[in-house]
Amino acid sequence: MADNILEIKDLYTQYETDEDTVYAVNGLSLELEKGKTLGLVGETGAGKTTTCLSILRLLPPKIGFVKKGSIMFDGIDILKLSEEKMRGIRGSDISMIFQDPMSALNPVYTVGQQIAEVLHYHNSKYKTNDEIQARVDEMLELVGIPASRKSEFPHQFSGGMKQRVVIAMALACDPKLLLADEPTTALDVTIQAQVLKMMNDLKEHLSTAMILVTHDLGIVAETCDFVAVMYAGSVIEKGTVEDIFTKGVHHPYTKGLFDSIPNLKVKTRRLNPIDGLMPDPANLPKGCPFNPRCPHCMDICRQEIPADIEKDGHMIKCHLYKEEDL
Amino acid sequence: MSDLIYTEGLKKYFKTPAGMLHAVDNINLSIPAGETLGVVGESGCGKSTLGRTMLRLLDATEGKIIFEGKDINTFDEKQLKAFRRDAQIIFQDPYSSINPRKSVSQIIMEPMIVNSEITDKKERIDKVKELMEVVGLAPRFYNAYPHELDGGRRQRIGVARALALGPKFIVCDEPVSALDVSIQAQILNLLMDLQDDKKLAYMFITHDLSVVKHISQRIMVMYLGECVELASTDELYEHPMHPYTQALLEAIPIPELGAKKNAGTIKGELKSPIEPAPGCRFAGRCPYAKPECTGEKIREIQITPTHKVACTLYY
Amino acid sequence: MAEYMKAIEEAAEPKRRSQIGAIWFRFRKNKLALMGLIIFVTLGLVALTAPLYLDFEKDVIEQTISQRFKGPSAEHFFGTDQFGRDIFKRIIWGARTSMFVGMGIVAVSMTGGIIFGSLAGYYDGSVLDNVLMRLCDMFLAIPGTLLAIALVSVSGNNIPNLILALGVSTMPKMARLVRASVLSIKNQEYIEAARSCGTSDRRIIISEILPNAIGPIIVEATLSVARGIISIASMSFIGLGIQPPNPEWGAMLSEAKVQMINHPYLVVAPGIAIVLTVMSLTLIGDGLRDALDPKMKN
Repeated sequence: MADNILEIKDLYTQYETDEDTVYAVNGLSLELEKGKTLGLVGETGAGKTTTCLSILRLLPPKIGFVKKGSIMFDGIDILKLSEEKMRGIRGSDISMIFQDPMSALNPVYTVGQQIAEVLHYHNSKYKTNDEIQARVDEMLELVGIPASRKSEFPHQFSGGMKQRVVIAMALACDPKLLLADEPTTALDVTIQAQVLKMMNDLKEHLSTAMILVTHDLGIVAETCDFVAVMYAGSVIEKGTVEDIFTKGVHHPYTKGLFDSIPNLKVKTRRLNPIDGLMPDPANLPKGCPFNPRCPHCMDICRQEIPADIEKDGHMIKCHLYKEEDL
Repeated sequence: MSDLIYTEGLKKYFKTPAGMLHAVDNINLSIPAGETLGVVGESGCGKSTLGRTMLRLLDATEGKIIFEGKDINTFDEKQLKAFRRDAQIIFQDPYSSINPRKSVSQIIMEPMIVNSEITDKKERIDKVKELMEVVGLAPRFYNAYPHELDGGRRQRIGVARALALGPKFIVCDEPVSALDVSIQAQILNLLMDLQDDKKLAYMFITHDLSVVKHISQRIMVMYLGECVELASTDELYEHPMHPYTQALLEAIPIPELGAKKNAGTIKGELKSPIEPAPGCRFAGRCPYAKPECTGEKIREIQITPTHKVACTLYY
Repeated sequence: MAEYMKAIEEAAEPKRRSQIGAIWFRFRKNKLALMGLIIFVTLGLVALTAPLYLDFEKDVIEQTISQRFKGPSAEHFFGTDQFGRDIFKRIIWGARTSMFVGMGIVAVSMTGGIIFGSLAGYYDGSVLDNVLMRLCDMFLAIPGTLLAIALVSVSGNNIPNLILALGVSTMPKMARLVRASVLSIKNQEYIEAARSCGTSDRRIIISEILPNAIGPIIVEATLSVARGIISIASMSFIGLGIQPPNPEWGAMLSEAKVQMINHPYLVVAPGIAIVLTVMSLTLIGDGLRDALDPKMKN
């Protein structure tokens, strides 16, 4: 395919605890073109964060394991790299920003120091102190914070500004791929709008590819080029953002998601939730994991995991469809 | 329909080392039985404080809260205890709002024990089972503990607990914000069905303008402790008058391609609610700000009988 | 409302453990903690059943001068002391004293600690809180053993007084711990929920807060027993604790100290007894702390 910065094939990640084995990611495959944004959509327990941690190889030691699969980053299988080489990639080639900006920043260091630290350890381009400081200023201005504030501490910033600092830190080394795990969920809606607008502007400016993990389809519509919908550890539908939002054919879960969102425009009293709950990842049902909740469940759904049905880049993992239907 | 509960000039201030924090400032609202007033605003606007003050979980600094004709701020202990049976609260966080050491049945039964409601033990057990069925908790969870249940089911426990004493008024403090989208819809439907069934009055507090639209008949928009707009739901969404309301509506990401937005996002950050200057608290961020917006208290203008707004644009 | 029943899955129920079950499971996996528990339980059983196979007058106290200072042998596992008494049997009997006193101390300090600590924590910032905490500070400023010595000299040297004295001297630590626990739980939403139902303060403290605060309290209690045993041994060592001829490990150590050059084996038995008991209790306490730590949950 086109110039892909990331290609994940058939990824299986598990958490092994004393009591259970949690099958967090089950046969996940994803691609992302250079410079594009992929929205990774799903609810709690779908495996989105685990996927990001697997890419960065930051799974909790002794508990989280990648069991199978390959993750090709810019042509290299990063699952096979040594830890030392991986550390060279983290922060400089692949960066991650987390959901809670309050706890992502160290309260005893100034904002400028924290951005400088990233540059100090993770890049080779800015070597002298002056170069590093100049880059710190540049990053702060880029995210809309006056460079004069670089000697302030995190507690002097509001939630939205803290998240901008975190974004500045993540982008400081000009990474090729940015993993953003629900970066605006903890923010107020007007601040979220500001931060999303800033991220959109940055996208045009830099050539960073981004995986945006979110449960909010509205954010996906606004910021993403591609979408992948996750359920119980695998991608059950993916495509361009037009495929997901305008085409009529969808995985029943995707349709259920859209139906259960309270819609500003439509006037109804009752909502249409999806019946039931996401399955326990330690205890997945046989066959298609969505089968207990699916309004179109057939016998085969309870027996076999569906194959990927694909056409022109739009993929649906469901027994209902054949290629012609897409 | 006469109002079940209404406020007059309600204020709640907190004393801080830096000065008086105006958490709730001069709120006048009313809720008839069987209806929902949505209270919308972002963090720091005082909506949670308002909810708690309405139940006298916090004591009001000034103003009246009239419930069924009586001012609850004047209640003595006995009247307050009786009021507690009529007015309940559902919390936001299903993980911290229920006692992890108690079983589902114990949690739901607790209000009955405390209020000596239904003294017969067997009757209590029956009532708990009935409540569990009403909120959609399977009977097998009777002796389960919270850590065995997911967020959605825990929130149902919270709803059952709030219903245990047969209240007339429930403050719902962001009851679905911590839940997944598909579970949100389930809980919202449950709340609406209960309202239809028992003629409950709700104060539905949230920051999510799409959620509040479904459940509320009227909505109040708060900013830094003040009410900036209060209107029927339809009017608010079709004709938002206050610039802040407009900005809030615009900021919501819409799950539709190309649905957005050229319009500016509002700039700046929230001011501090400590010792605020007189005048409009939104003026610093408002694209239409004028000199008369600061310096003097902003008057509430009644645009229609069901729509009022506090903004100089409508003077 | 059958529609809501639809919302409940029919999937098989996952393996369910109660909270206590989960804690026990985690505790069990800690090999050291388990070992500590086995040792302590064994010691406890031995001590408890001692009257069944030992006669106090004959085995523990009676002096047989002809048998004095005999080294360890098949007949006397740890040898005999200066009065010809079998050291092993005295150690076993001493275990009863140590355990009893240790538990007694903890009972006193826990009772006072929980009452004062929870009141101070629940009404934190009030005059009551300040008064209670300043009283605690006062007691904390005085070394525990010294305080116990002072109390015992005033009120007389007998076991109940010892227990009371040592218990009171360790109460402030427990009170502070309980207060900190209560403070952290007090602001949880379920406490607010309880208040919104009209629950009285007393009921909130007893029924809602304390069951959740019990974790650190139990860990501290376990470690307190260990400290109590050392305290009583220390006091007996200097002659102020359990009086002869009642066997007590500290006192036995003290007696052995004098004879150490000529009969070094006398030190071994009481020393090992103290170390073993205290160590097993400490391991249990640490194990409990880890098992109760919610962050360790997977």
